[in-house]
Amino acid sequence: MSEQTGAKTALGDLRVLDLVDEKGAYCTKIFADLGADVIKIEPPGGDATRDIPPFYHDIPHRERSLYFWQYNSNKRSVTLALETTEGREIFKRLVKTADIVVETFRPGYLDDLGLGYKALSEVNPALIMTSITAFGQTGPYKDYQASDIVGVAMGGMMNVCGDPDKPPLMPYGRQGYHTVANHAAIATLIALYYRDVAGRGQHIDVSMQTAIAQSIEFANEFYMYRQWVLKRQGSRHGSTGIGEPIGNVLPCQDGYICNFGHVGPLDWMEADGEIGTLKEDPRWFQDPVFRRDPENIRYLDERQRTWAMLHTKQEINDGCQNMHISWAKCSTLEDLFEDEHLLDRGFWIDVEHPELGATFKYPGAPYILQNTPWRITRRAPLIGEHNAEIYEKELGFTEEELSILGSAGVI
Amino acid sequence: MAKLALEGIRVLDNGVIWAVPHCGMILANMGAEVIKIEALQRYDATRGLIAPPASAGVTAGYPGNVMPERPWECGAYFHSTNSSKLSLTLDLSRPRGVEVYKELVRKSDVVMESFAGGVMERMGLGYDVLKECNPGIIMVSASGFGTGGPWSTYRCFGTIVWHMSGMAMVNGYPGEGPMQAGNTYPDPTAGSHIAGCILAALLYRRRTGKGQFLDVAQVEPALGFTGPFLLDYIMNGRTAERMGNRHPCQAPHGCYPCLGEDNWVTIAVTSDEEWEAFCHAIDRPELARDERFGDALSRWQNQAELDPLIMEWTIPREQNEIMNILQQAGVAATPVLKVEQVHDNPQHKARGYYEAVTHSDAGTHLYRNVGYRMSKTPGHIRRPPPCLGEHNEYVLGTILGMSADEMKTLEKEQIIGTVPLPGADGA
Repeated sequence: MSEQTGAKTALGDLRVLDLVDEKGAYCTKIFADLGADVIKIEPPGGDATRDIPPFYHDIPHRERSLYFWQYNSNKRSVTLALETTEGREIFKRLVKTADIVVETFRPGYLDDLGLGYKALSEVNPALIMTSITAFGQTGPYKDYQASDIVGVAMGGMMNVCGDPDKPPLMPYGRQGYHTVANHAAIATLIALYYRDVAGRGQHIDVSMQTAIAQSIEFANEFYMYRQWVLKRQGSRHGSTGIGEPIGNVLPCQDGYICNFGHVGPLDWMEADGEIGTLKEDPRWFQDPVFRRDPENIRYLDERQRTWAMLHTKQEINDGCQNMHISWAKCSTLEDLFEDEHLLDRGFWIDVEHPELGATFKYPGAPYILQNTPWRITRRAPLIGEHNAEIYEKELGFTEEELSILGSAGVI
Repeated sequence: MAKLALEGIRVLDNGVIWAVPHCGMILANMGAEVIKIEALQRYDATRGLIAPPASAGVTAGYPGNVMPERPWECGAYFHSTNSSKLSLTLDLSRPRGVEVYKELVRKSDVVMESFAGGVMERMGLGYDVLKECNPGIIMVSASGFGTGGPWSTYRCFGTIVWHMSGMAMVNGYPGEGPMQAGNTYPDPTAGSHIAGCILAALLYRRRTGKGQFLDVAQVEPALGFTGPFLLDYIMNGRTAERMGNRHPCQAPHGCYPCLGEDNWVTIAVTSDEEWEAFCHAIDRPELARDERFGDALSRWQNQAELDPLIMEWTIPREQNEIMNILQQAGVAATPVLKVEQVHDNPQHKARGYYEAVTHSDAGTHLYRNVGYRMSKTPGHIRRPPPCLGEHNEYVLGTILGMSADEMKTLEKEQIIGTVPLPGADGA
């Protein structure tokens, strides 16, 4: 149903109506970047996520939010007030042309407007509607207020992140929102596959709490099998305490490195005179009880720390990897943009912002689909940028009608 | 007539540890026939040790903390990420194993693996070869750094991905060093992205009949989860700082201690209206008029003064009491749940998130079900995590039509089997 042309894409024949806030922004971005025609439906005046900082050159403005730019590439924008009667009618006309609606309103909100799944599936029986909320559409917490931090706290992730003697640590970068949005995208794609086979749409109910609970590794099984409660272990892996300490972040000459699962690059440490007993005492390799002893943990940590300070992160990264030891550098932002590997894979892509007369690097594809590439063909839309394209050309409104709808606050 | 959404799709899952197996489980719970492939000579390390030394204690999380008869069938980690799959053993280091694998590829839709770059090619199972066997095959290679490029052969785990994607550098307490996440978070991030691109490729194949090669470098989906901090660096030249539990523009926002040992609540106030409601809810209406906290900017700038005032109120109270009082006032506040609380959480119970499954060796336990509810194709845990080689006969006999004699020969040659050989755990 899409009008998009150009290179073949995986989802190029799909149309998605986007009614999402922060919880769903990454979900519809996935569809848009895989080729679907995603139409962001914004209230007149623009979507609230346009107010999220940072802003371009730090000037707050609804057309300058880098947050909005990040998540809305390739999407088109129309303005529409769903709370008005005309707005609802226009929305239903759009639903007839769409395959998917993704929404993040509180449970029941769209039902109250007469735009819930039941009503929309009467307009378009093949419609897939994906509802993303903090706790799901049902259950005692369904109406609770929630932010990203609530999702990571209630899914069990936050309690295993951070130092044991400090508060649980919220993982950086809105991971509750990212994870639930990604789950919503998967569920929607599964429903699309089923619709292809069986011809039926359906409603999908996605919960941020549950999406995070899917991401806490083996915590659930360890708890069931032996009532082991994973605790915060600083930068060590969550299994530390039940098994041996695995992994840590260590300072080095010019930043940080992470060590994982090895005593160390022994020959190198020896050459640097920092080997201590690591080579001569076989218990470092043969005796898990010895390795778990707090005194020995401290000893090893000290050897590794002293040694790491003799080298740069890049030296340690390359040297260890060449010895098949999985220690790595802790990349800074500067490192990311200089990393030869990401450059080699063409990760950074150019996106043009014509109204600014500028082209910027954007983070690129999360995966390479060889025949149907992920791509960004257009920067995030301006508020209502595609009103004319969609309302006039597709739905047949005249300019005059649109100006009346505009002054009535519908678009 | 509830049906499983992905019925009829066959997936060969050569993944190990968590990322690719996580993807396999997502597809298997939704109806795909996912065949997990391991070898008697080398199984998925999450099965734990074949025979842990007595001195090691019980480290793999065996049920009841008792050493089981077949420890490799009781690893909690393996069981957390392999439900609903079938298990086939196959030694891919030998020509006959490779041959059988190719036979399977002819009858499958998706192949996924996460070996370091070049390993599948060396076994004679690169995409070019598999495409010859089955032009419609969708192959996913999902190592840490992907196919090609200077780092493609690097050894990689989720921990490494976390650091090399820049996530570690911005994650941590303000004024302190970078930190790991305790749950190897890049693994489910990669695993769910892999599921997404497989589904997109399956949809494309339904329209065109064409398979394709999917190249996933786990570090790249992790970068997709970093939010706008990359653009902030590119466009504004700003290097993001570690913020701990603070929000870039809202306050109060954080994690506060409450009654009991290591008990915490999160509180997030997102507007002036919520701030006023919050002050009344904690019985400090005068704070709403305090000019230090009068608007979002003042609150954000004066967080250091604000947080102790909030802690005064949270410290003597129970987690749930705090949640109830603040939620009734319309303010986002919840406990930081420990795993047993996640397990017993009334919301999860009401939504039927956990499903009881009986495993031959591990007994009956509650496992996490599908993470979303689909009205027509709900999906669920269809069978317990498989025992090693449990489905050899089905896969080789029923799918490939191999004779019993032939299977016996393979077993004798230890190309297939059900009992791991010494060293299979990599120890």
